[in-house]
Order: sequence, then structure tokens, then C-alpha cells
Amino acid sequence: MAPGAWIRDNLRVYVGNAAAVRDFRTQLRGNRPAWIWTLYLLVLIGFALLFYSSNVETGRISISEAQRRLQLYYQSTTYLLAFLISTIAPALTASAIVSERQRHSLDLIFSAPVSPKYLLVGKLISSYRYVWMLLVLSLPVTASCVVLGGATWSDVLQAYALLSLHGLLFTAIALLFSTVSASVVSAFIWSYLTVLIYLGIVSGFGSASMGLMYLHRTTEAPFSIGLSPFLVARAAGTYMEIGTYHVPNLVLVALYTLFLCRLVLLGAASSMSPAGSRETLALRIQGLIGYGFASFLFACATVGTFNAVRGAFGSGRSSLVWPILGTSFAGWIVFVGLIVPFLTCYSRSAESKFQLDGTFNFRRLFRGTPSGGLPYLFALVTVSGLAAMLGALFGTGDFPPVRFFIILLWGFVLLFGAWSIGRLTSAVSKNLRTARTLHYGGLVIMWLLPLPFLAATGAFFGTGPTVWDAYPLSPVWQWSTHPMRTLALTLFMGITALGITYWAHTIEQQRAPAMRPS
Amino acid sequence: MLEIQNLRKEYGPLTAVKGLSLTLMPGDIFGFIGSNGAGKTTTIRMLATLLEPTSGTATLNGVDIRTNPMAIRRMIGYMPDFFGLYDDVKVWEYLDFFATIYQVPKDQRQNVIANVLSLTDLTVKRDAFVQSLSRGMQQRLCLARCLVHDPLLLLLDEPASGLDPRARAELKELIAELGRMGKIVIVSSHILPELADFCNTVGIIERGELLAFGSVDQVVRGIHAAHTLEIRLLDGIGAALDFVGKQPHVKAALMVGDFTIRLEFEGDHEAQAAFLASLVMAGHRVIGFREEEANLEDVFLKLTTGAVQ
Repeated sequence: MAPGAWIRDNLRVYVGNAAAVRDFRTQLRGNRPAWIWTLYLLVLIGFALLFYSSNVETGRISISEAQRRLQLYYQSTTYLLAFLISTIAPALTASAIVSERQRHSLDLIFSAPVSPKYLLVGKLISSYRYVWMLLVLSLPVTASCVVLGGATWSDVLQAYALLSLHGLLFTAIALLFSTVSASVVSAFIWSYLTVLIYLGIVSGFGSASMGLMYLHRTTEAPFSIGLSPFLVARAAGTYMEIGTYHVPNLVLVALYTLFLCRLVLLGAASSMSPAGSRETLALRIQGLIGYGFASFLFACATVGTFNAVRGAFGSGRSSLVWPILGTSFAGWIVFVGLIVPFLTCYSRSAESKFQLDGTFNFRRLFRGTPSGGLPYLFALVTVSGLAAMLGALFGTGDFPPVRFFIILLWGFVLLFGAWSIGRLTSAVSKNLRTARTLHYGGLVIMWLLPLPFLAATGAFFGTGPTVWDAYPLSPVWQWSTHPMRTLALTLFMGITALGITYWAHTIEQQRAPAMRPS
Repeated sequence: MLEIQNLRKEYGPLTAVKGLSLTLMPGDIFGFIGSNGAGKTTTIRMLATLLEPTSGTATLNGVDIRTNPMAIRRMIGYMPDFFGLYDDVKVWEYLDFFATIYQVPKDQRQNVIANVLSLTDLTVKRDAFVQSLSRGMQQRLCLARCLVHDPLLLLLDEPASGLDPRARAELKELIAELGRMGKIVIVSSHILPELADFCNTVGIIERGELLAFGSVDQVVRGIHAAHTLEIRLLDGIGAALDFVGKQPHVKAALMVGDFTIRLEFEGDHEAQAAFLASLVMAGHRVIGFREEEANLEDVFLKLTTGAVQ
């Protein structure tokens, strides 16, 4: 596409988007918006007054104590805003596309020269504009924190920038589920569930980063401190060391969040597009880049963390860098398991992009059809492994030990196993939804169900061979396991996966004549 | 010109459309007839680029629906068998939304909206909320939406379903007017009388297969090679029946009342005139002679079994 046409196309999408204009008209019509905003302001002001009156006392307190209380007041205000953003953004967005589908207006829109991107961006602007409006409305309350001395304008502006980024991400997540869900209720449930899980994970990482920051007594902290909206007050002004560079965490969080938003929106656009569409191609390529980038940043953060620990305790180079990095890398691989059913499952009754087109075809890596699923999973493991090694190398100068490569091999085989279950469930299912549900069920049985039984053996912390060595996910925490035991586990999993794949293939061959069109 | 070539759609083991081929010219109003589930909507959705054909293709003025769907969308107006209206917007806002997504220049939008409202007789409802419109008005608004970008091809899926007789008559007149404007109009329906009135081309589809295609007259003649004639006599019905049975071109004759004979006649109009003359010359007192017009409904019932897939 010529640059001029590309610019015109993008301007059309972002400026004067018809979906955003229409929603804007309906959002602001009548008295309802004024009542909602008034209620919102009353809640904020009420909270501020309540908190202030319960913490301010007449009498003598030290200046540092007063400062501490005012900072707490500011932090509590940001907690409230984070809570409101996390609850309101999905609520505003989760019904956006699914209600259009239920109203049958999606067909009308897509029979016009409109791309999924145009509609999704329009819906994103509609909801995000509202989130922004709520943030702007809350400024008088946060301004009181500045006036009283609990925060500076710089703190507030950085916190708002981070909050608006999180609002954008939650809007995008809800938009994705609105696109793939069959009903408004399921779109709401999945959106809130995902936001909740995301908040749980990033708040855990963020709290650990915050702990390290206080330990180190500087403003240097892994960028994960800024990933949780509940920690924006702490994340403002922090930076992360990448090599010899001090990169503000606001910049890293912005890059990360915007990239994640892009991936989520591409996922939504891809689900609305046919096989081999530009959206699917972009999702697959940028998914690889993003996964590699996240692995690289995570490796940098791990190295940075141990450098910080070393600085705090004055000890030498930490020997924990590779164990932590190796087991975390294994965790990243397991995380990929969540998307395996979407890459693997097929059905003859589904639209063409989900119909069986072979087993393993590298040329369909970016096409979005089932035969490109396994190559894509392998590509994810390869890119992630290389990026993690590069990140660690960048910070420590050390080459990875052999065990890291064994975990890499385990990663390939684990995802091959997960993929083979999807082939089997697709071969025995009548439709795509059943195949995916069974696939997730199979993964839960293989990966999670053994946990309570194995835990009951009490052999978790044993140094010698234990029953845990046969658990498929054991490399996630067992760096110290003898490499040969991990290799044996990998070999066993590989043979099992090959057997399941052959089984699925046999079932498929038997079903094929019966399913042939008359 | 719309050319459809071997258009086929499969859903796993089910073949919804089996190699459909036809050609339509500007000004053609094509009635697409078939039972529910025959494949009409699937075909229309493929032409609207909402469904990907399994094989085959269609071109509109040389542009392929498979290779250039965006260009096709600029040339078509699609009206599905449901309204898909936004209740909480005004009529002009609804049309403005579609004019924007069809990339009608901003300075022309108000004029375009005024024109389509005038064509569909909705000007007085410009500022009304969509939810306040009657069903007939909502249907006309849907048609107005299809016209904001002046399409070459209109795909109307069951446009008259659920409308009262007056609204149906108005819609028929509107569609006929669009045909006169040189647009290709494809109208699907299973209500046959409403199609026969204003369609100049029809196609009958069953189980995804196009069983008949051509002008209404061609299709009817193609199925009814023999005409049905009805003769009313003043008296002497027995002798007349004997006489009629011996005449050339008469395939079968039977008495249907005290003084009426119905017969299958295979000759053309010249032969019909000669047959009537011989009847009168033979002294039979004829007081009525007419050809029963075969209609689309007869053809449809004769061709189809009503089976769906």
C-alpha cells in the first residue's frame, strides 16, 4: 500500500470513526450521563472526606508522620481509582461487539467496506473516552493530595498516565471477549475473570519488585512494579537498569501495555477475519515478537533484581540467576498452554480457517489454520528461549548452562504433548466448541489434577528421585533436579505425545469417509 | 453486470449451494425463489462477501468477490432478512453512520441522506428515533441505508416478510423504481405472487441447486410446454368432448363441470386459433374459450419437493 493511502486509511480509522461518533451521541444523550458523573464524583469526594477525617487529627504530630499520612491518603486515592478503572473499563466494553452480533448489525457493518480494525478501534475509542472522562473528573480529588502535600504534580501525572494505560488494556481485554463470546453474560464473566487473574499476577510481580526497591533503597525497580494499577503511586519515578542504561519504568510499562493492547486487539480482529487475513498474519508475527520481548525484559529484570540483591547485601554474583531464569522460562512455556486449544483444535463443521488442513506445515505458520499450529508453538518456544538467553547474557555475560537447554527441549515436547491432546479432542468432537472445551479439560487433567495426589506423597522437597519427577510440569520449580531425570521425563512425554497423535490420526481416517459430502 | 460461476458453499458434510451459475444485467430485478433452507440466504451472503465460497466465484463489473471483497462492498447494498437497527439513534444518525462507513464525502452526506429519505418516503421521520418507526418504515429505512452509497447491486433477502399489504405494495413499487434506475436487484422470497409482479428474471433454487433460471415467461413456458385451455359450451358437452379428443395438439381432455371441458394443448397460439375455429365450424356452441395462465407458484410446486437439507 502506498504511504499516502496508508495514512488516509489510518486517519479514517482513528479520526471521525463512525462507530465512535455514533456511540458518543448515544452515550451523552439525555440526563443519564450527568447523573452517573455526579454519582461518581460524590463517591470519590465521599471517600476522600472519609479517609481524610479519619487520619487527620488536631494536636501535635511530627512532620514525617504527617507526611506519611498524606502520602497514604494519596496512595489510597490511587487505589480507589485503580479499583474504579478495573471495574468500569470492562463494564463499559464487554457488551460492545457481542450486542452488535445479537442485534444482527455486525453483518450490516461488514457488508460495507469496513475492516474489523475500523470497528474495534471505534468501539475502543468509545469506551476508552469514557474511562478518560472518569479519570479527568477525579482530578479535583487527587489535586487535593498535591495541595495538602501528599504528592507532587509529577507523581500525579505519572500515576494518571499509568492508570490510563491500564484502563486501555482492560478495555482491550473486554473488547476481545466481547468479540469471541456468544452472549453478553459470558463476555462479562470472561472479561472480569481475565482482568482479575491479570491483576493477581501483575500485583504479585509488582509487590515483589516494590519489596526489592525498598530493600535496595533507590528508585531502581523491575518494570513489573508499574504493571499493576494498584501500585501506580509507587511506580511513579522508578526506573529499570538495562545493561548500563536507566530506562524509566513509565516508558517500559507504556511500551509493554500498548504492545499487549495491540496483540489483544489483533486477536479480536483475527477472530473476525477469514483464514490467512492480514490481521491473523500480524497477530502471529507480533505475538512472536511480543513473547520474545517479554522474555527478554523478564530476563533483564531477573538479572537486575539479583544485581540489586548483591548491592544490598554486598555479596558476590548471585548463583540464583540461572535457576530463577530457567524455572521462570519453564513457567512462561506453561503459560503458552492457555492458547494451545485456539491454535490446535479444528472441526469439519467450522468455518474454513478451523478446518483440518494437514498436521504440520511450516508454510502455514502465520496463516491461522490448524496445520500451522504446532510450528507456531515451536516458534514461540524458540523465540522465547533465545530472547531469555540474550537478556541474561546482556546482564551477566554468562552463557546459559546445559540445564537451560534441557528445559528448552522440555518446552518443545510439553507443547507438542498439549497439541496432541487437541488433535485427539478435535478428532472425536462434532464441533469446535466441544473440541476446545475437551482440550482444556485434558490439559487440566494432565497438568493440574496430579498436583494434590503428588503433594499427598510428601516427597516434594526430596533431593533424590521422587514421584514428582514424573509430573509433566516439574521443571517449573525443580531446577536442582538431575538433568538426566528431566531428559527422561521429556523422552517419556514425547513418546506419549507421538502415540496420542497417531491415535488421533487413526480416528480421523476412520471418520473421513462418513463425513464426506454427498 | 453480475456473473456468478459455479458458486459453491459447503459446511462440512452439508452442501448449502451446489455450483450456482447465472448472469444478470443492469436493470434486472431477479427473484430468487426457494423454500426455507434452500440456499437463498447463503448465496446472498456469499455475494455480500460475508461468507467465503468453498469454490467458484462471482464478479460484479469484472471485480471478483473472492479477490477484492472491499471493492465489491463499495458496489453492493445488502439488506438481510432482519433489520439490525440501532434503537437508540435517530433516523438521520443511523443513515449518517452508514454514509460514513461507506465513505460518502462529509460535505455530501446531508444531501445523500435527504435524497434517500425522500426516495423511501421517510423525510418526515428524519429526526424520529428508529425505535418509534413502524415495521414498514423500519424496512424502508433499511432500504434507505442500502442506497446511501448508490450501489450497483442490491441484495434484498426476504424484504417483504412481516409487512402489511400496503407496506408490501409500497416496497414493491420502490424496488421496481430501483430497477428502472439501472440497478441490479436480487430479491429473495418464498412468497411467490409478490415476486412475479415486479421481477423480470427469476431463479428457483432447491437444496442448493438452481433448478430454473430466466425471465418469468421463459421459466413458466419451460415447465409448462402444454397450455391448459378451458372451453365453456352452451350444450352438447358429450359430443364436444369426443370432437376435442380427436383434434391435433390435444394431449388430454376432461369434463370439469356440466358444460366445461379442460384440456392440455401442445400447440402455439396459431394452432389454438385454428382449433377454436374448427370447434365452431363443427357446430359446437362455444360461449367461453380461455387459456389458463400458468404462474410461478405452479412452476415452483412442480419443480420442487419442499425438501430442505
